[in-house]
Amino acid sequence: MTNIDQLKYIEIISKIIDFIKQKNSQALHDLESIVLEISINNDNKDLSEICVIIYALRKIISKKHFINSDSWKEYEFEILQNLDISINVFNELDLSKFNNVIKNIQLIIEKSDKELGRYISRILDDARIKLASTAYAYGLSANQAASLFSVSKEELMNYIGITKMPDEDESFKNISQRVHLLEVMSKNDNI
Amino acid sequence: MKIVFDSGVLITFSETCFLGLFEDLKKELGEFIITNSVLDESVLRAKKIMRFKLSGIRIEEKINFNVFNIFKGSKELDEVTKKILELTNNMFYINNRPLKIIQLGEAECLALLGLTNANYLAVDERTTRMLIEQPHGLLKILKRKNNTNKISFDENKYIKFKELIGNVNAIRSVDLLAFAYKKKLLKDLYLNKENIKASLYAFKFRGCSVSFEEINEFVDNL
Repeated sequence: MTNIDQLKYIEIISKIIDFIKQKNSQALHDLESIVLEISINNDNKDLSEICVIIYALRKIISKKHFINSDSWKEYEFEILQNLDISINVFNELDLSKFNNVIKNIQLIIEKSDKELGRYISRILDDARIKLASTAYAYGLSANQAASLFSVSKEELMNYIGITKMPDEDESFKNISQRVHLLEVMSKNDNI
Repeated sequence: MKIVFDSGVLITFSETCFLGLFEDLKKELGEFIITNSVLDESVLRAKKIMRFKLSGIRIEEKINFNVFNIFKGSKELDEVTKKILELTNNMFYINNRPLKIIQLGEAECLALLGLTNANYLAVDERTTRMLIEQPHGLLKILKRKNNTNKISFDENKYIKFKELIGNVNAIRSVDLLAFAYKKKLLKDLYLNKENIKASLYAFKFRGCSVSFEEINEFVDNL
């Protein structure tokens, strides 16, 4: 990892800390877009995991029932503490320790979601599938997008199927044209 | 004729209960081939996850009945797959860095096309299909989505990629279903306009890269 990469990580984590303290979900959203693009363009799984955290946190701080609860204050403290630790650990250039801290933050988010969330579907799982679908929208294949955000290809394809993505793409050959070509080729094969 | 199948198409047919159609499609079209990776993804791994297990069991049955031939794998397949990965994942550049767009599973299917002189890749996901048919369309998508002007495409690598895969076309699950409709391979229930429309929509909702407009246009012209 280069010094520039190192600085980027530290900058990103510092911004996450600031935006959580400010309760600024829009700023987290903007940060998420930037980090997402970097992770996609560099096939960077570490950044994709950080992206998952940013997504989850911006969703959480936009929900009043979360941030107004007393339990959340404790979770928030733990998350901020771990984010600080991640910066220190990153300065030591210990990537495996850094990844463990990131996983720990995700566990805390999961715990808070279990206690305070109102839905059966989990916030981290939602984060992964939505970010993977954005990666697919960017042009990555389904397998590549799924792998980057640790979701299954099937789940991703099912999610993409209910988005407008396939309707926004320019059609190259329509169904009738493809069927016609298939008919011609299969006929030629049988001659 | 030979068609190499990506896992996505098999899973779509399985989840919509149209898997049985492949036996009749095979009689019309020829040989259906899958790689070990596709077998792994659509059957072996699927059977380990309860949510996808039924789909895996259904696909496995079709493989056991020789509807699909498994290409067992070879040193040649490994070499061509490696070449395809190198070419495709160094074909598009963003800010002077190569973009990794496909993975091993997709590269293996593409490699098999040339090795078996296949005519088609059956694939529902967009990127692999566009690599075969419309690489400049893929470049357009990258330019639209990325916040940078520094996006380029290496035509020479694309030419080498096409040489490896051969003169092939892409086909989607909706196209295979529409073909089955035209050939009257479907049960009477699906020969009704509204019902075939519903079936095509079901494939779309499972991620097949097709628009509502395309489906409606096809059905309206029946």
